Amino acid sequence: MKVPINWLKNYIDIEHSSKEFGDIMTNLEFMQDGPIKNEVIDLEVRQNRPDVLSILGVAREYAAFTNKPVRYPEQKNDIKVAWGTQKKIINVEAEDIVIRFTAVKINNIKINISPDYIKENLQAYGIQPINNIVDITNYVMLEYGIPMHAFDTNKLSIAENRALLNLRMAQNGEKFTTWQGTKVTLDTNDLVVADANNRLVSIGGITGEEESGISEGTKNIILEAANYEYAYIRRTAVKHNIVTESSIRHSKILPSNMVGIAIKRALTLIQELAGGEIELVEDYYKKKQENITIKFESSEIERLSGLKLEDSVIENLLLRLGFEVLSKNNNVWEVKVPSWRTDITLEADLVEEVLRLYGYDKIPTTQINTAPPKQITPKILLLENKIKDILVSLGLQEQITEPLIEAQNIENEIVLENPLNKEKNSLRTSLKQTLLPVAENYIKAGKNLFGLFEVGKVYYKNGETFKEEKRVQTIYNNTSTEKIKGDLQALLLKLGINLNKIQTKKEGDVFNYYLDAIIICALHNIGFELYTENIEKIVDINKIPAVHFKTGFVQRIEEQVTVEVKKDSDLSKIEEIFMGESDKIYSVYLTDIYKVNEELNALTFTIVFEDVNKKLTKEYITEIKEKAVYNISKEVIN
Amino acid sequence: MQSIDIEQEVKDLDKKIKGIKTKEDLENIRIEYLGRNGKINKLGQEVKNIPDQQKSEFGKKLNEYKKTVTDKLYSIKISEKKEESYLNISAPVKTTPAGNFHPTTLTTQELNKFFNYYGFSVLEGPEIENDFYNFEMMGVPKNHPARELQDTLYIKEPELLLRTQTSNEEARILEKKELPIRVVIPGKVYRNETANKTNGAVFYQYQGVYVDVNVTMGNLKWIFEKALKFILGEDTTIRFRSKYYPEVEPGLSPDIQCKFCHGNGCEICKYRGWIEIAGGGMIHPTTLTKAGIDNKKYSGFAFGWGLDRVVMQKYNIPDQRLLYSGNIIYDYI
Repeated sequence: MKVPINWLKNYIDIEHSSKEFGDIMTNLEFMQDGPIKNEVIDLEVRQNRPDVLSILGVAREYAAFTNKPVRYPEQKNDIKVAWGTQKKIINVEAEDIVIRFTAVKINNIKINISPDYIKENLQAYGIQPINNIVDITNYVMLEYGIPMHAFDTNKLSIAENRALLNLRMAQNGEKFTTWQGTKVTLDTNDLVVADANNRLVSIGGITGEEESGISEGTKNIILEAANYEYAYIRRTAVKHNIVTESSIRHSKILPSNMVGIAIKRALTLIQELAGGEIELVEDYYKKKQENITIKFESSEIERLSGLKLEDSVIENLLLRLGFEVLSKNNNVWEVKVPSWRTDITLEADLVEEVLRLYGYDKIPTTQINTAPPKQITPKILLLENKIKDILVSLGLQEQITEPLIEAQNIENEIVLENPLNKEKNSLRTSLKQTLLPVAENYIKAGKNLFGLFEVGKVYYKNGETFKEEKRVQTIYNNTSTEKIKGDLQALLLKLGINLNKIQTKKEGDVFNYYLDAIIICALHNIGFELYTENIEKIVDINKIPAVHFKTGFVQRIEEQVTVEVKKDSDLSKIEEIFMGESDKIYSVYLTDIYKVNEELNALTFTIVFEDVNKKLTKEYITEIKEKAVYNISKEVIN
Repeated sequence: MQSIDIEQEVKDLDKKIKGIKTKEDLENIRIEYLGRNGKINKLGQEVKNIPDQQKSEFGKKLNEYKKTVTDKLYSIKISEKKEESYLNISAPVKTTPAGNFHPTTLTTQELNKFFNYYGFSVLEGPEIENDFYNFEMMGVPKNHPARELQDTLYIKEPELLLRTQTSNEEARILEKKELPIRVVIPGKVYRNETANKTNGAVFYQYQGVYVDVNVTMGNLKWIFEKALKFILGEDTTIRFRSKYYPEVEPGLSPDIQCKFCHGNGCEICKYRGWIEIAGGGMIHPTTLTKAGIDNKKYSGFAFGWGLDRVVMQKYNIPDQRLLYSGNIIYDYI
C-alpha cells in the first residue's frame, strides 16, 4: 500500500519523521517496502488486513500508536433519497456471491477536471487523474479501501421491466474486453455485471469496460460499490491474470458496513465537484454484517507471551485500536470488535492486537528450561544419514534432484492433474530417471571419472493407493564393475550386513541381493540401488558404521586359483563354493580374466585365508583349493 | 618327437617367466604355449603319430605339462608399476577425488544437530498428502487463496496433493497428542509456480514445533535468536515484529539486519535495512483444538524458514534453480 504522507496528514497529525513513521508501521505489522520517495511510503499489507489498504486504515493504526484521534472526512447527511431494493437499477442473480451491492443513479452531472488536492494525492499514490467522477471513485476507494465503479447510464441498454444492471455468473465461453484492452474468455465461476440487453459491462469486483465508462460527454451515471465472497473474486482475478486496485481489495474479506459509508462519502464529493441530482439509491444487502464480540481473559496475554501487563494497560491498548470492552465478569471480558476489522474472530487475535501495539521487542526472551522429551527421530532418517556418510567416504558426490519428470507412460506412475508444464507432469518411479541427467551434466562439464548418489524417494501407484518409498541410487561413469561392486560391498559391510548371508540372483541385467528373501539392493553395470526401507528392518542403527577389527597377529595367506569357465556363467556360485569349503577363507575375489576363445574365459581368483590361531598349513590350503576347483568344475563349468 | 622332456620344458618356461616385464610379454608367452597354434596344442596334434601302446603315457604327460603351464602363467600378477617415484613434493599433482555432501544436506544436518542439542527430534513426513493435513488443519479454510489450483500441485483434486508446506507433518504429529512435542521438520515441498532465481517449484522448508504447558512467545524469540545466530553468525542483529500467517496466532516474524548496509537501506535489502528470514508464531488455537489438544492448558509455537535461502547464502549459490537440477558439479573431482 503506497501511502502519500501529505494525504495522510488530512486525517491525523504526524509527529514523526517519515523514516520513524516507517519503523512504527513496520513494528505494527506493516513492513516498509523500499525507500521513501517524495514522501510516499510503501507498506506491506498482508491478506488479513484489507482495512489498511486505505489511507484511513493507515491513519487508524498510527492513531492507535500515538493515542491521537482520527479526523474522518465530512459526510453530508442531506441525501434524501430512500434506500431500497426496487430492482430498477440492480438485479442480483448470483445471490451466493454478492453480499452487498449499493448503486446510486445520478443525473445531470458535469464532467470536469478534479481539484488539485485530488489530482495530487492520486498521482502521489500512482493513479492517473482522468475526470472528476472517475477520480472520485478512485479517491474514495483509497480513502476507505472500498472499490467503486461508475457507469455512464446512457451507454447502458434499457429494457422494460428489467433492471439496468444484472449480477450473474458468466456463461462458459462468454467474452469480455476490459477498458485496458485485455480480452478474456469467462466461465461459469466468474461473476459478471450485464446490462438490460445482457451485454457484459464489467467483471464483478475486478474491472469494467471502455464502452459504458465515464467520458467527457457523460451526463447521467450509476455509481456503485459492493462486497462479494472474496474467494470467487480472487479466483477469477488469478485465473485471468488481471490485477487491479479493485481485485486486490475484493480478494480479501471487506467489511460490508463500510460500503454504505464509502458511497455516502463519494456522493458528498460528487455533489460538491460535479453537481447533479440523485434519482434513486438501491442497496442489495441481505446478509448484514454482524457485530463480533469475543470472550477475553486478560491472563491469556501472559500465558501466551510471557509478558505481564496490568489489566488497565491491556484495556487501554484495545480501546486505542477501536475495540470496546462491553463487560468484565470474573476476569472474563466481553470485547466488541470494530466493524472494519474482519480479521478478528478469536481470543488469540486479541492477544496479538495487544502485543503488537505494546511492542514485540518488549516481550521478554525466555530460555526453554523444561526437560527435553524423548527423542522420536525415526530410525530411517538416521539410517539415511549414515548411508550418506559411507557413500561420501567412498568418494561419491551427493546430488538432490527434483522428483518431477515428464510422464514415461509406465503403468504405475503418478501423473499430476495440473502440472506446471509437460516436462514436469509426473513423479519419478526411479531415482535413475533424475540422476542420469546429472551424470550427463557432469560429462558436459568435462568430468569423466565420477560416482554420484542420491538419497531420496520414488513415487508410484499401487492399485488405488499412492505410495512414496525411500531409495538410494548410485551412478558411476567410466568405472569398472569391479569398483562399483566393491563400493557396494564396502557399504553393506559398514551397515553391519553379513555378506555371507546374502543370496544373490541375476534377474535380467540386474544382480539382486536378498536377505531372508527380502530384496535389499540391486546392482547394475552403471551403479546400484538400495531399498532403504528394507535395509532399515535388518540393521542395528546404533552399530553403524560397523567396526570390524582383530587384534594381534593374524596368519594371512593369499592363494590364486585359475579356472576356465563359459562366458556367461553365474560367477556368484564360485564365491559361495569357496566360502563353503572353509571358515578360514576371509574373501574371494576376481583378479584377472583371460579370453581363451569365444566361449571360454580363464578366470584367476585370489583366495584370502586368515587364521587367528595361526594353524594354516600348505596341505590344508591345497586340499581346500582342490575341493573347491572340483566343485566348481561340477557346478559351474558344466 | 616321441617323448616330452617336461623338466627341460618347465625350466625353459621359468626362464621366460623371469624375463616378463609387461602384460604384453605375458600375453606373448601365453600365446606361445597355450594359444591355438601354441606348443601344447601342437603336442596334442602329434598324438596321432604316437604308437598305440605309448599313447596313454604321452597323454598323461601332456596333461600334466598343460596344467603346470596353466598354473604358472595364470598365477602371474603383473603390476605395471613404474620405477621408484622421482617426483619431489614441489611437483604439481592431480588432486585426490573426495566425496561430497549436497549443500542442502550439510545445512540440514548442522541445523538438526543444533536442534537435537535443545531436545528437538527430527521428522520428515509424507510428500503425497491429503487436503486435511496440508490445509484444513493448518488454518487454511476451503476458500483460502493458497488452496487454489494455481498454487498447489494436485494428484487428485481436491483431496490428494503434493504438500505445499512441511506443516502437514506438524498437523500429523499434533494429532498424535504425545505431549510434550518438540520436533523439527526439514523437507521437500511443492508449488505450482514457475521457478525463478529465488523460488523453485520444488524447494526445502525447515520447520520447528514445540507444544507443552507454558510455552510462550518469549520462548520462541529465544530459540529464533539462538538458531539464527547459529546459522548466520553471532554478530547477527535480529528484530521481531508481528506478521500474519494463517497457521499461527499471534504471528511473530524475525528480521535480520542487513549486513551490507547495517540497517541503513541498500539494494540487497530492497532499502528496508532488514531482511525477512523466517516466520513463526503461536500455534493457532483452532489447529490445537482440531488435533484434540486443550488450547487453554497447552500452548505451542511453530516456526519455519525456506532452507534454500540459507543454503544459498552459506555456499554463495546465486540461483535456487541450480540446487536441485544437477547443476552443482563438484569442482575437485
